[in-house]
Amino acid sequence: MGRNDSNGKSRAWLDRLAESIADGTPVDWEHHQRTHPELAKKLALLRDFEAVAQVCHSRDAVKTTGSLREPQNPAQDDNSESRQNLVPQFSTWGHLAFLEKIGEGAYGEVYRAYDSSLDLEVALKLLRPDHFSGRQAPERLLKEARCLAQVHHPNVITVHGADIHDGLVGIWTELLHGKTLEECLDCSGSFSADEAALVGIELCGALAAIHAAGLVHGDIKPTNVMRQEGGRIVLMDFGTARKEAPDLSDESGGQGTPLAMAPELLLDAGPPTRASDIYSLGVLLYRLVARDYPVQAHGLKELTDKHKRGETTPLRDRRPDLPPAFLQVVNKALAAQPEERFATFGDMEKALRAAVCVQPAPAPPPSRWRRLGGAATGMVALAAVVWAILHFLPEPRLRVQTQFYKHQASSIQELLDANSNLKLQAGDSLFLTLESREDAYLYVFNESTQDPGVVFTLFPSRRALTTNPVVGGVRHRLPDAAYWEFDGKSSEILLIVASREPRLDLESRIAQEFHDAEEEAVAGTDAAETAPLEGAGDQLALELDPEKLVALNLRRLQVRPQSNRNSTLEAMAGVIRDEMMGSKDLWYQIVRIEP
Amino acid sequence: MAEETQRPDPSGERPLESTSALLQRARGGDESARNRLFERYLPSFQRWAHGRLPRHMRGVTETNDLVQVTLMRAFQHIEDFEPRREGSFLAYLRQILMNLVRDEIRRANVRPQSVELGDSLRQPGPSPLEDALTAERIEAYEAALEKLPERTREAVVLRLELGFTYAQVAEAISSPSSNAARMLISRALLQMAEGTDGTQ
Repeated sequence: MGRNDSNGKSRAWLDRLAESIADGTPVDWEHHQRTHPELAKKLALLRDFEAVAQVCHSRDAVKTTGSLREPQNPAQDDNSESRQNLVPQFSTWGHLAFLEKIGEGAYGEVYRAYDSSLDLEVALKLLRPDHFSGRQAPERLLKEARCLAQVHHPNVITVHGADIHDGLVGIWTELLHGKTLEECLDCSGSFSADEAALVGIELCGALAAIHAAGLVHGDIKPTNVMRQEGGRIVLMDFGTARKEAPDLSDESGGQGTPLAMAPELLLDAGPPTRASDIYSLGVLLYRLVARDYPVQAHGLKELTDKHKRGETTPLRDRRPDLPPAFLQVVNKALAAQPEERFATFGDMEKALRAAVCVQPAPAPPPSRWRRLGGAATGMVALAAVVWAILHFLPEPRLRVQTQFYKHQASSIQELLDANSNLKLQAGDSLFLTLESREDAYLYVFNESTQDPGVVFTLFPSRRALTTNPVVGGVRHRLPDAAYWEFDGKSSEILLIVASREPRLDLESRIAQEFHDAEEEAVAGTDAAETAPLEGAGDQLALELDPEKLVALNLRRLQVRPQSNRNSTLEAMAGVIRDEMMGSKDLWYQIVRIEP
Repeated sequence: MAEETQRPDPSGERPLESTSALLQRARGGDESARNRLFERYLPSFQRWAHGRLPRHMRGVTETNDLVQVTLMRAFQHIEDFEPRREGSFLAYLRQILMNLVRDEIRRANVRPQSVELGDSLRQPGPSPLEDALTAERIEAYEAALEKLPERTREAVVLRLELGFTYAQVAEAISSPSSNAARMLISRALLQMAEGTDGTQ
């Protein structure tokens, strides 16, 4: 009786544990393992299931101890899974499908998303509804974003679009991979004058393009400039992060700071202007070389007071080693009076260029930004070479990489030496992977030495998920989710042909083959060979057991024997080989499978 | 841009449009339903693949592309499928991706990206899943999963691996309620733990 009680209790306890795993609520495994050492194996397995769920739910690394997920109330399951994000999991916003959250701030959230109309991954910034007030109405932001979409400059982030869906304003742009200048500062320390000037020159070009479009940026700072992998400097985050009432306390992680704002914006609370953008670029250059701001303050009042009194720290005091020409550019950009600053970014760029030219560092060690400058010229040269290759050099020969695999008793073995012969045993299962660098039309045929002249088409097939032309740069598996079975009765020959253009001779042959097979199936004349396989094809879509995938007979579709019984795949290969002498658009491989 | 704003807001339709209805429409050749369904499934399968593929073998973007292309091709043939339930279709997609993952791992094992790497670096790093579990334990999980009846297996996969809500699972496996789906899944987990435990 007591034993039954204890069994019942432990059963109920296990039930609750399983429910916790299914719900995604945290489980104190150490405690359970201590109190129920007799169930250690069972607990370990349940814990494994939890780990599987955690790994699959989260893109991030998962720790094996403890649960990373917040407790969820199953009754409110659907709501709780939105996890306080602006958008629920597995959701879309307009035509964009969310992939993962990549950033968050006071203004809203940034997601990596898939744009189905552009067929491309994008960065989607969704703005919090409570972020808007007064002149920053959603419509205004939309208008601004759409203007930005008109700006095409290599150093300006490409804006793909902006819209309102589900009450949220969103702007989607190209997805950048790299580090912000602030992160570069953290990793590598202060910039040299030359490094900073090179960045400044690129940003002057970007901002000139923005001003030419009748816009101002309004939020130029190191966290809003990305150095992409490869060195491209990209200005991002326009106006969207602007605030009505600046708050010094917002300097989380060194971003969103009034310390970068022009004095007139702070003192007169005016809107950002071209002149204030020039001031902000001056602050950015100052920060790159000094890792600090020209005016330091711990509160908004202190900051405005210091601006009123003109209390700034001259850059020369912080970096006396910098060349005077560079100091002059920064000082001019940081002039308290807007009219004393550079009139345009064109002027500022000219001055920066002069500063770099005036100071050719005597044989300096190669540095990040110097290399970047070198890369810019290098890139032009490379582009010319690429252009020349594309226009004047002959097209490379079409090539396909193939690999055969043998599947035997739940293990999969790569078959080497596919260029000559493959040794298989009766009952062995086989599949093949192919990859071409470019899109190509693929044809795979099979012929048995037992029945020379009887050729079967393995690909293309109406049952296959893959269709011609097969996509380049992706490995395709044939057959898709099944195996070919080798009956071991005689040698089998496989001919694989790839072509840049559809092969009309092969296509018409295959069409005839499909037609014949259909007729035969209807007439029931070939039930023994094709009927079960057609059935297997149907099953293929539904058969889910990875180890019990349907084995398709290697000879899957039968054609009527041709009148010339001597005609074989090897003869076909001969024809293609001859053709390949005069064409780079063709490729073939012939493989013999021996029992 | 102007066109974007004039388009009817597709997300507005979402709550009214069940996944199984979408699946049915998609199978009937409705391209917009197919696209919506694809967009709905893609992120969860991409997450799934990231958990299974060894790290550093392929970048985030490349993996996403791979999953996207694979699923897109599967979706092109959606009209040919006759799944008994949405769950069967999803399980089928998982199977296709599982093959892809296995092929990828095999490929990385036999063809190192760079011959300059030391031997220890040639093997692909463990996947996030292998970080959490050893290969044997992943196999034990898969084996226990295989022993479940098909519909139950679908429910477990959808909830554990693809992160579906109970309501979504219920819809996919034609279960009467979220709660019934929850019971089915938790009992299945226990059954998996007990079944495997008994054999050891």
